[in-house]
Amino acid sequence: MDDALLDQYSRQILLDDVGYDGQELLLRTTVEVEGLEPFRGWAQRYLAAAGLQVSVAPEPGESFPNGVRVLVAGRLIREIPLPGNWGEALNRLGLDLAVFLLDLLGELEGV
Amino acid sequence: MVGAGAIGSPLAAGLVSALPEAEIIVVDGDLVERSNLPRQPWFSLKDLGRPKARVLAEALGSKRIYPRVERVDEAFAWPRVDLVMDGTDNWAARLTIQKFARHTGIPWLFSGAVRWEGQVAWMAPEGPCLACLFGSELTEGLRCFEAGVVGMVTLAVAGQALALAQKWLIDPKSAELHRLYLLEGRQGRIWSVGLPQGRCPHIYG
Repeated sequence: MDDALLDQYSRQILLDDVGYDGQELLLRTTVEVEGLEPFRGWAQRYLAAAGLQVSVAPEPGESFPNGVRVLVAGRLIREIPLPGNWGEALNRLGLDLAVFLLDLLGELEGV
Repeated sequence: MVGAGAIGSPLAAGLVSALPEAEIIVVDGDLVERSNLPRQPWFSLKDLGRPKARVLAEALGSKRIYPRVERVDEAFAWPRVDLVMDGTDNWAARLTIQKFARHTGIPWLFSGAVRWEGQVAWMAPEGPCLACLFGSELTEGLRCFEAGVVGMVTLAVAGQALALAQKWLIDPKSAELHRLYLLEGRQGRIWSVGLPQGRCPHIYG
């Protein structure tokens, strides 16, 4: 990471669970997001913002119409069923994506 | 909406979608910085140095968002509103919000996040205040630029705040409004504690 990227991800790098090495791993990792819009788009937005490369399934809604799921190298990592209420859905999406990020870091660091 | 940052930006975006008749005034005097981007994903590199409130309004593309590039302090000219939502990161701003809300008899929503944790509480005009919940000292703890924060947790906090606003619109007397919600991003958990019953004993002059 150059100085600009260090500045950009500084609030994540400060976290013990992420750190410099963890952020480097995130920047080199591609995840795939599929599922229900508009929440698939929200997930894509937040995962990309965290530094991940994000791709989206070509027909996102049909694969998992009840929420969002995140895959790494074609392998399902986390399935996030979402309630119909907007606030509760964003709350659930945020918490589950946080767990996904932590799990992913643990897996990447273990490789 | 006071603050167009990590909590304010997803909250404003959620409000636009969830409440089709709401008009949303977004107040923030800050400019977009590079370190904001991982948890304020409506902003991009081309927005660096521009006012957050204005960039957010442009990104959301809604005619129901009114940006104000100002700080909320004692000199702030408050508009007439039904609810104030806190998307700030410091007690001074929250106390200013609380003072206005108490004087005008409207509710406000407290929210905050640091590291992997977040908090949200509905602050009824006659109910517990910040001093009731956190003590009268309100010592500033570690903030995001010191301790770090996870963008997904700020999204979860915004979702919880939006959920409470939606509950209030359906049932202003809902018992779910009288709780402090604690969010924990490592395990994806949320739990709540009941707020003190009765009137707030503190006086706001």
